[in-house]
Amino acid sequence: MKTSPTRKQGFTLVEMTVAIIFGLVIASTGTLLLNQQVGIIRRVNQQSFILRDAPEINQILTSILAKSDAIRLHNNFADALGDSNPVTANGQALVAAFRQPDGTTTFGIIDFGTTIAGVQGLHYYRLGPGATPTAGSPDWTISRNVNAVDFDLVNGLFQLTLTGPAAETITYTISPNQ
Amino acid sequence: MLEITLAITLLLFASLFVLQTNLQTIRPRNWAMVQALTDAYMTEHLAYAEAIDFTLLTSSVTTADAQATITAAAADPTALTSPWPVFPAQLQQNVTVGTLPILGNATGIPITGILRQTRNPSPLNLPANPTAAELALNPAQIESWILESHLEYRIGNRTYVKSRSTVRTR
Repeated sequence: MKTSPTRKQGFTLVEMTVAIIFGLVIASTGTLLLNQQVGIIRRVNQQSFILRDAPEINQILTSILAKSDAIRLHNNFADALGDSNPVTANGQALVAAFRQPDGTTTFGIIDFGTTIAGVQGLHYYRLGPGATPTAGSPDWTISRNVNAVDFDLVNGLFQLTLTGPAAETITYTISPNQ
Repeated sequence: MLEITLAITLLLFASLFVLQTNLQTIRPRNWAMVQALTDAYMTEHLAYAEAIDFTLLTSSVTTADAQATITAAAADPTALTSPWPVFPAQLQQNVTVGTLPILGNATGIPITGILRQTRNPSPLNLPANPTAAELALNPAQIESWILESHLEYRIGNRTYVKSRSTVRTR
């Protein structure tokens, strides 16, 4: 009795090659898409300094300065605390004086520096009756998403230049009427 | 073969859709960043227009007078003049508004512009020696000026102008 030859199961080499090539194309396109998405997220995060952090800092400083009766600029926290070497340009620390209803005056120091815990940012220290601040132990951190801060007095107006994590800079001038 | 072709086609459409969505996210944020920078920059000129001493404000008449506020006053603050000369004279300066971030670059892109400043008088402002008829129109001898600061900047191929005006009276 004669039997017909059985057909072998499986794929040919050509079919396998084509399948692997298409698989690689799909995988590499997926990787590209993922990379693109990661890049976009990084870019959106980078934009957040100018769109979110800087306006917040400006708003907070505007509110503080609107309540203060006088301000003074210094190069660093030690000078601000010791009331020595006041400057009018490139300050890193600002002292704001607040006259109280009972005739006394309290102070606040806004300083760009690093805390004892190693947090770099713009910090607020209370200075007044019963409150003696220590460098690196602020009462409040205004922002930690800022890389440099410059306080200046230009034509008698307070000017604030903020530098963000990606070297972006933005300058605000706070009007005495605000 | 049919399945693979279908998968690649779907992936292509998905990539295009994702790319378009990402661009729609990034473009308005880039625009908003330039607006934030220019708005912040104009706060300086708005605040100075509100704060400048009136005598100093009226010290410049011509463009040359106003130019002195940049050249002479840099060395001697007492030599300050008004940056707002009387229209049609204007003080024009090339200015750096701020810096935008660039992905993977440590320096950022400076955004520059041209700042033009001028001031316009109220029609009832009195001349040096007013006549009786002129005095009758402004018996309190009020002097008013509109101080204008215009910042011209470019985004892509388009030029934009942002303006701030302040009225000062004495």
